[in-house]
Amino acid sequence: MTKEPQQSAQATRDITYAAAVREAMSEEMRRDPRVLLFGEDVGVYGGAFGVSVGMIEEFGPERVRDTPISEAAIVGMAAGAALTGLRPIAEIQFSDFLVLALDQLGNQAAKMRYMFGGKARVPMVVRAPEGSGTGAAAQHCQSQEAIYCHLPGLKVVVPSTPYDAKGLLKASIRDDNPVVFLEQKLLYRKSGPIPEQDYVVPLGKADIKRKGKDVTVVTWGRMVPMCLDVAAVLEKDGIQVEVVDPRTLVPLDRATIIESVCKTGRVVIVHEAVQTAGYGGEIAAVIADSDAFFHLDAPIRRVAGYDVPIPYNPKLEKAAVPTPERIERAVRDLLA
Amino acid sequence: MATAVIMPKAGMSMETGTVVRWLKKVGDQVTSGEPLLEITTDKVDMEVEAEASGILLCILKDHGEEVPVTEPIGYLGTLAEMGKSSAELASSSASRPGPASAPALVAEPVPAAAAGGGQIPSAAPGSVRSTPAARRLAGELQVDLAQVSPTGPNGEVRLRDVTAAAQKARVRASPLARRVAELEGKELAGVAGSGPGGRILRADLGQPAPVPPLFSPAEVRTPVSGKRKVIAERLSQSKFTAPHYYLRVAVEVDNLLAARAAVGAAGPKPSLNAFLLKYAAEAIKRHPTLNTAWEGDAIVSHPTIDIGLAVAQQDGLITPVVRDCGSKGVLAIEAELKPLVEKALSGKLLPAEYSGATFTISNLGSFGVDEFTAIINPPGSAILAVGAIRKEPVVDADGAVAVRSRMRLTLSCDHRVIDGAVGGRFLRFLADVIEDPSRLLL
Amino acid sequence: MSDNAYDAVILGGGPAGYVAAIRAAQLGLRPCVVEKDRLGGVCLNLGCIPSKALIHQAGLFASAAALEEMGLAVDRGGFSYRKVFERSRQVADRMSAGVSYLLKKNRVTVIHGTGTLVDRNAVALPDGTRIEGRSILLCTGSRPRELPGFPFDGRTVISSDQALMATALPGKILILGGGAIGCEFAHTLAAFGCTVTLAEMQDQLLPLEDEDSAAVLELSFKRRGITVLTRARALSMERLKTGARVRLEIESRGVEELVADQVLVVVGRTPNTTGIGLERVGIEPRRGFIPVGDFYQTSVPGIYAAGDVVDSPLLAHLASKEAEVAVEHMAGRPTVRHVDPSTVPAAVFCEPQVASFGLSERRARAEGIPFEKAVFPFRAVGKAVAVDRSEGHVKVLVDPRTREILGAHVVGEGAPELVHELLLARSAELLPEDVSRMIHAHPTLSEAVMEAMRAVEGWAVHV
Repeated sequence: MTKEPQQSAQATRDITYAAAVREAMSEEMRRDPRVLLFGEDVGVYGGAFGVSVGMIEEFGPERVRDTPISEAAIVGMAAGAALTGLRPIAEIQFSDFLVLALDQLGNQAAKMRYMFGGKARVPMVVRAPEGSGTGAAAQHCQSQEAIYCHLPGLKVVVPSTPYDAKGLLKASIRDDNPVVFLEQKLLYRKSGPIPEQDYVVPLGKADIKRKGKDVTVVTWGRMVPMCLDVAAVLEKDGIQVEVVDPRTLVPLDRATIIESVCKTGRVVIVHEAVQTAGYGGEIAAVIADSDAFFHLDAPIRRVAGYDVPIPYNPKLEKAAVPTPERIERAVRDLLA
Repeated sequence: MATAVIMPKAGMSMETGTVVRWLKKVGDQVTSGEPLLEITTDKVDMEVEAEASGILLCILKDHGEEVPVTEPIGYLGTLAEMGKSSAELASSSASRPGPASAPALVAEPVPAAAAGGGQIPSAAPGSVRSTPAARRLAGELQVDLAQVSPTGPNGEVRLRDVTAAAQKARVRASPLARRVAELEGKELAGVAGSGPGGRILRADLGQPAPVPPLFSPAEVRTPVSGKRKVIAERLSQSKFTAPHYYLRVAVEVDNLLAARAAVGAAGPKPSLNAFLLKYAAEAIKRHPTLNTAWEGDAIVSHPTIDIGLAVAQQDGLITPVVRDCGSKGVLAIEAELKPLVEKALSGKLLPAEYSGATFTISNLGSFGVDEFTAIINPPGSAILAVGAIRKEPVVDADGAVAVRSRMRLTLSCDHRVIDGAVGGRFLRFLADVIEDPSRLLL
Repeated sequence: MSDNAYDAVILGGGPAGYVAAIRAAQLGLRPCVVEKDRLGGVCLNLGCIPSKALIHQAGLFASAAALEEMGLAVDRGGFSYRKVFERSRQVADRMSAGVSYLLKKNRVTVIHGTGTLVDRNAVALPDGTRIEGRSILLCTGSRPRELPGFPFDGRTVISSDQALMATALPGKILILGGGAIGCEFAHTLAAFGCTVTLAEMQDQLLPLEDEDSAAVLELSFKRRGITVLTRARALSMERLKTGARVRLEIESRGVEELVADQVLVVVGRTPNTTGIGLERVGIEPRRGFIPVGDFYQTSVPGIYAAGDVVDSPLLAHLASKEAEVAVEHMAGRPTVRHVDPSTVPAAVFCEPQVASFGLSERRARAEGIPFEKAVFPFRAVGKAVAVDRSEGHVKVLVDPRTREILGAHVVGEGAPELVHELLLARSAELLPEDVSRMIHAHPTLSEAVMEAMRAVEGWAVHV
């Protein structure tokens, strides 16, 4: 099962991606008193991107806490809280800063359950916004999901729509493992429909955002809407693109991706993160070492960020990451 | 590090190419993608683009030289490398074989977007470059990849190539026809086969046989018979000596057809041609110039109106003549005409019966010809060509559109004897009386 | 249709005529054959068939030597050539009767008499009987050509007809004409022990065949004691009490004289186109032949011509084929316009046998037609060596680019049979690999064909 009713027969309402995140957190905090949120400026300020606006008013300063500027402390605190019975959500203001907490995240939180022989559980979520496009330059615009995918013990989630964001965050909060939940800066203001009633999107299940028979495009995060736009353009030339959004990078829904490539025989992997050692390489290897290999009628292509720091100049900032033109050209090349 | 410019393999069967001319001189700056030289293969002239940027260091093969594919014909590099020998350049070059130049390579992962530096390792000779999907399908369909023409951008066999090859194989064609089609780049699908069971043979591809036939009865095709010679001579003479001009008119024949039907109701129905002979005779009576012949120093006027009707035989053409049509009615004309035509068809006309027509009518209407121009039949000075009767929309006297039966007449006249106005008046009169026979009473 | 009116009146009952008649009957036409002599024509009676019977018996006679090698004592004293001759007549008679039977079986009317054209729809007999036909096929064949200065007298100067009707062997014979007929007679007579001199005007025996085939034949003849003179022209003859003295001009040697008991003149054949009424229908022969166009039609609609009266190779199988095409056209059936000359095989039955079709190297060189060739010798073929017939080879010419089989020239044992595999390949537009990849039984002579086709693609195994 790969396609979920994003727009089911039931009633939906449009909310922004940011609001979807907020709703997920709020609903889980209402549902489970062990859930709490902390990070820099999440309380009084309402979050650097306004995601947690109104929450401190509803849940009070014990459950919505402002922290000092120390990512290691924030994540370490989350790990400890989780270990001792709470279900914390730690917000890191820019995903770029998460590397400051790598020891707490990767050596401690990620490893504790294993190293304590299963006796410990670390049910925590670390949320952080990724991505370029806001002109925030090299240290505030990166996409580094590959780092966290590389640490066993962590789950990594990258939602691309308000629907996915809300459903996946709830699932992440309910998950007993440390989950790195990477939001997309430039999508915060984007609206999308969500069902009226409560729902959860399970982790580890990809979503086929658009069906097609000629080329598979595997993509996540902010690149998903860009790929969908390119697919619409290509449709006019009779090229039918299938867009597969893994949604969860670890654990990866290999089956959906492989099935799609078997069908189309061609695949382009698109991600904003830098190409070298990007997660696209992992997916490419998964495809190449699967049944889908024997259906490939063209090499596996990646369209990803160039191996450069994100520039400050707006034109260069756009050009440093995939553009619709690059994606379109890659697809056409495979069909040449 | 210099980059070799090689003779590209621009087609599966291409073994060599010939340099036509270089578009850049030694020492010129070259940008990747720029046309560098022109070559010609046995099929086509084409431009070769530079695979890398750099300075053209040297030209190894020049105008008119034939080079095996993939052999270096020049080098691109930096200014510092200028002056190096081609051997030095060859050893230092990171020549990236062009996309279509490596038939023996296996599809190994190509380093993406490598700027002119990566060496594609070649696999064991004899293996065909193909995508995994293509190989799978080839295995399923029992297609030999080595026989498949690749269309992939890197010279690899793609899925569609295997499908096409399998499809081609299903077409019934002789091995020679297949080989020739492949060499000439022709498609077998859609060719009508003339061999047993609809098999496509070489001849069906429109290719000439390499060996001209030893003897070709085609040279002896239907030797000119006596009759054919005569027709040829006479009509040539007529056409080439008499200055022909042509007048056309479209005639409404409803009244003519009604008249014919009326006569037919009362007895044997005369042929349409008999009517035409009668009308023509009446028209000639009033325009006697049409009954004359040019004899060089005199114009001879014939005493009687003898009209010939062109009859098509199996192997020729003959015009039985009805004498003195001016004095005969339609029925009398028909009575004479009918047996003459029968004799004409069976080749039994006597010379007296087919010579001396002063005016000839040729009717190709029954062959479905709408209109045509005929060649004057000597000794006459004019011939009337009659076309088929067709229902057409016409604008009638009231300006309304009606459907009438019309027939086109084309009169060929010998301008030495019949001037334009004379011919025109005759034809107009003829057309008028056909349309309204009562005019003959005038 | 009245009694004497037919759909097709066929003048001549030889290979063209009788085959046409049977085919016409198969196609639903009502045919009539008018034949002045024996059904089967020259081929059955004074050509192909009796000559092959003689050749066969010559072979048996010559095997006496081989029998002696096995230790048998062969007494040649009782040899009677008359018996040989009679046997050949039996074969001819039997074949001719066979034709008669076939015609009867196919309800073909056969009229014995000398027919001539009276108009385009009728043939008449000397007594005036008119035989009417909607279509007429002229296939009156050919007769031996006489050499000026060497008139046939049936005794000293003989034609092939007379040679086949001879009841005794000459001691010494001079054969003028080194074509197929001359070579076959040379072989036969030499085998029976005659002293044979074979003279040919062109630069090789079998001038129409491949030069290498001719060379093999010449060598074989010379080894057997047949004197072969090429580029030799007969100038004049002087009759002697028995035999004749003939003056020959031999290019390399000048004028020489030769005495022989008999002179066999086989320098060609003349078409029988005089006295058959062509002038009455306006057909003008060209160099003796009747001009024909598509479907072997003459200039007179309804009249066709086929066989030796038409200017195409004088071969019985070609005559039959031409006649078939004509008849198919008469019957309104779709057929080829004319026989493709490159698919007509030629065969010579002396020893070694020779057969060929298609392009020759000589012609290819003269006209600049590109070709590749492969030659596979019989000495490399097990069967040939085992049966002591290892002289000769299979030669194939192909188009360098498409590999189309352009021609084949076989000299050696079984050539006339072997050539058919190659001819089939050409007719069906098969390529050399189609033939070379087919398994050929071992040990057979056909393996030479397979190997020649391999050789043409560069991978012959046994050479």
